[in-house]
Amino acid sequence: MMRRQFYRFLLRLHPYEFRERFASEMLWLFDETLNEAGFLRLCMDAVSSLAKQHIEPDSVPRPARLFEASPRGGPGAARLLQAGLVASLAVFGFLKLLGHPPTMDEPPRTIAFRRSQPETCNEFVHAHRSTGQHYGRPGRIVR
Amino acid sequence: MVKDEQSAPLSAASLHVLLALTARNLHGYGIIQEVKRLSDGKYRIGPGTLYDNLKKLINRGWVEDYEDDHLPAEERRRMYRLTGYGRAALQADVNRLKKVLRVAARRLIRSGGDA
Repeated sequence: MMRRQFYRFLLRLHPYEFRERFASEMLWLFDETLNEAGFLRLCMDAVSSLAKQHIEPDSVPRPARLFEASPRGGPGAARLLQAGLVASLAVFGFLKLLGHPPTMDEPPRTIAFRRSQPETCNEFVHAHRSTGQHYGRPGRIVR
Repeated sequence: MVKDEQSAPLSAASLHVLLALTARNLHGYGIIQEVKRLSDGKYRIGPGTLYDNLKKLINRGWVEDYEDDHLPAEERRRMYRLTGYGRAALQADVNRLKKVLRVAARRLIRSGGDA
C-alpha cells in the first residue's frame, strides 16, 4: 500500500495536463505490472517520465516552445536570438537618445487646431489664467 | 497537430508501440504485453515510458485514443489505435532500418564477417 502511495506521489508531480490524461491509467498499469517489473524499476520509470514531461512538454504549441530552455540545459538558440534582439534594441535606443535628445515643441496638429478654433482655446487659456496656472508656452498661443 | 512529421528516426519505444498497434487496437496494458511478446521478452517498457511515447504519438496524429463502449463501465479502458499517418511513419522508419541493415551487412562482409 505504501508503494502504491509513493507511486501516486510521483504521478502527482507530473505536469497537470499529462496527469489528467494518463495518471489513472499509469496507476492501473502499476497495479498490473508491479509483481512482474518490480517496484524499483517502476519508480525509476516514473522518475524518468517525470523528468521528460517537465523538460519537454510536447503538448505546448511549437511557436511557444521556441522560447523555452534547451532540453540540454543551456540556453536554446531561439532564446539567445531573443536576448540578442532585446539587447540590440536597448543599445540602439540608448544611442539614439544620446544623439538626438527628445524635443518638447508643440506638435503641428495642436497649432493647427488652435488656429482653426481660437475661441475654444482662448476660453481654455483664460480659465487657467484666472486660476493662476500656466498651460504650455503663452507666447505661442494663437489669439 | 503535426500529422506527417518525421524528422528523426523513431525511438525504440515509439517503434515498438507503433508495431504493437499494427495488428489491433489495444489498451495500455495490452501494448506493454504486446511489446514484450514482439521482442521475445527482451524489451520491456514501463507505464511512464509508454504514456510519454503515446502522448507524443497522439500529438503527432500517429495514434488515436478512444473509449471502448463495448465493455462494462468498471472494465472500460482507454483504447489506442494506429492512424494512417502512423502507419506511414512506421513504414518510413522500417524502410530506413532496411537501408541501415543493408549497409551494415555489406560492411561486415567486406571486413571479413559472416553477415
